[in-house]
Amino acid sequence: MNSPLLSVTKLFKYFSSRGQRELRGTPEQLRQDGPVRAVDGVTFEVHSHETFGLVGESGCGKSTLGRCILRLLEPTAGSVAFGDEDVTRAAGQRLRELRRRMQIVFQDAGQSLSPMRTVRATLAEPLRIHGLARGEATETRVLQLLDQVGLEPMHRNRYPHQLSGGQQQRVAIARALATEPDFIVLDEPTSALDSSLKLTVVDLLQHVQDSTGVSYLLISHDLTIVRHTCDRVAVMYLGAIVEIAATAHVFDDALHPYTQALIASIPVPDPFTKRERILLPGEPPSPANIPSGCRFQTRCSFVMDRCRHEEPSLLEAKPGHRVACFLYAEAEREAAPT
Amino acid sequence: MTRRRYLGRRLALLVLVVFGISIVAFLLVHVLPGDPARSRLGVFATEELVQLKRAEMGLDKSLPEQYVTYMGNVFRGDLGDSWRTHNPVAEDFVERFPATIELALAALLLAVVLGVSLGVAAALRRNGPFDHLATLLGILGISAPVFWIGLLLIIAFVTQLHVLPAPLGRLASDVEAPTQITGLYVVDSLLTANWEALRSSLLYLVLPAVTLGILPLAPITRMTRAAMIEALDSDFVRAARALGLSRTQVVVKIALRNALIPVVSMVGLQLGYLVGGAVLVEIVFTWSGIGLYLYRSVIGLDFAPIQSLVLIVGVLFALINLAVDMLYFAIDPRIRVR
Repeated sequence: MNSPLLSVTKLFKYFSSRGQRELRGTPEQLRQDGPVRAVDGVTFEVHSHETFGLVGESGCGKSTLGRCILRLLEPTAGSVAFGDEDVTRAAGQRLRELRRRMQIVFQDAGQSLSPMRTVRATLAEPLRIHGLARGEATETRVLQLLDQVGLEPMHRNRYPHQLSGGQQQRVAIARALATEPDFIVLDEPTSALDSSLKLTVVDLLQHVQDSTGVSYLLISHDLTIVRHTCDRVAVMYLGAIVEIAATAHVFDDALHPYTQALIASIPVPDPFTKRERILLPGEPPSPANIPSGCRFQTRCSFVMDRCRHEEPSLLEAKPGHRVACFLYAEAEREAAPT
Repeated sequence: MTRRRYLGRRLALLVLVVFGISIVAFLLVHVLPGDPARSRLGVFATEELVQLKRAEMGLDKSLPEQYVTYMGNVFRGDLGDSWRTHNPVAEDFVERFPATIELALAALLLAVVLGVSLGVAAALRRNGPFDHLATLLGILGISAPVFWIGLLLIIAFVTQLHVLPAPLGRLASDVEAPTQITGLYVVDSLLTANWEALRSSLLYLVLPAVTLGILPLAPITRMTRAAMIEALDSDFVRAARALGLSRTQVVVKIALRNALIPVVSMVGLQLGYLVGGAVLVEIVFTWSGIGLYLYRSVIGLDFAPIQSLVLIVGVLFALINLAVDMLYFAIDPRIRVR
């Protein structure tokens, strides 16, 4: 496979459990003070033209991970490589150029658009910052962007509060597209929308990808949409990825007990379909107090002695299918290079 | 349309409020201890003389009759005479009002500049040194009486350090007042390029302005801090950073602009309270504004000025309130455009 567009390697983000100061030090040192381990050593990559899904319960660190990749949060440790640039070390002009190439769409567009600005001002801002258009050209580009996301020219003079939720999200998408990025983090882009609007926004995003070749990191807990749109999926639990595979493999052949429970929780529209529900006992533990050994051991029905002492690493169980679980330790040994 | 209706409703409400204020101001004389007629004639006046005086002052008529006469006079600009200064109250008031305005505006300016900067600094580094300073000033502003702070400042800067003139008025006795344009000495001396008067008036203004400014400083700082923290944690600030705006631009252009909306209304209301606070500060600094005038009138049982000041300050407060609400239309598009 050709070299990935984005590779995240052993990324950590710890928050202090007291106060809001940034933590400094290696993850091993910091772990002594019981920090909130929002992202706890995550490794994955995203290829060009790919839609990569990131799923997991609320609070598992998905959004924090997305923000660390874009340097909206400073990672505690680890690296993020974008093309041949190191995002975590970039500064000044190079960081700005990276910001041009990497964009984000937030969950609630009503919150992500400044209420003080018209649509035109919102869309013109990125053009101005990166010197992409001036004067007349700005107006042309704004109209083009509106058209690209299916809005009318008249919408450019509106304030966010004068738009519907779906329209607001389209403006937010247009803003992300303004700099012609190669990569967009979609942080729950449809969660705040009605189900009827969800699909139109998903269609819009796919259409944009088809015409521009942009890659997406789709952060979502909506498994139906993930299954519908993503090429590959990573499942996150308490700050760590427990399984990564092609979408079809994750949904039809989930290996990790947590993924299995997650998939089984998808509602089936036919009330007469018999299906096996897997109910996880208890609540997910706090990310400030992650269990030792396997982080899932407190809720796993297959828990073994080994799981309590040793942390499983994310290893290839089948070709292109990686899982962090000792149940597949045999396969792991066979697949592991010597 | 809705805006006009809103305005109409506010104006109707204002009329009602002003009517209420006038009733209170009118009744004040009848509620306050002491008989205005007797207080003018002295303790040794005979009962007959007092009755005559009462008739002369119209105090023997029924309350509604007296109210109508009183309001009729007020609308003609006749606020009664002060028997202490032997001038019409309106004249005394016009003469002293600019001094209070100068003091209140200077105090407010100080409080806004310092309060907003401190609030922003505190929000940027929560629990940092500026945050602690803001808390300290907040506690001081709420718990320490203004006159006490004024006295401390006088002890420190006048009697100990000898850097500021004694708190006796608005100008040094050997400096002539600048040609009257606005009645605010600092503004007038600037307009007439009278540098000597400017220097002197500024030196005399500093301490009372600082003293009075501590009052609104605390709420302005707290409001700015809270609004900034909320704005800084919003998705539109995150989006602005993702677009590549520098940190300063994000803080000033995006976050502060949104955070200032609640602060503006708060500042407007503080101006009303300042007039009240000015009374104490003017006493401490013998600042010859309406505060000192009111104080001396109260001490001397001079009813006409007390009544008029209650009326004027009350109406002023209501008008400022209205102006602040109108200001919302100007600065907040969510209200301006529907």
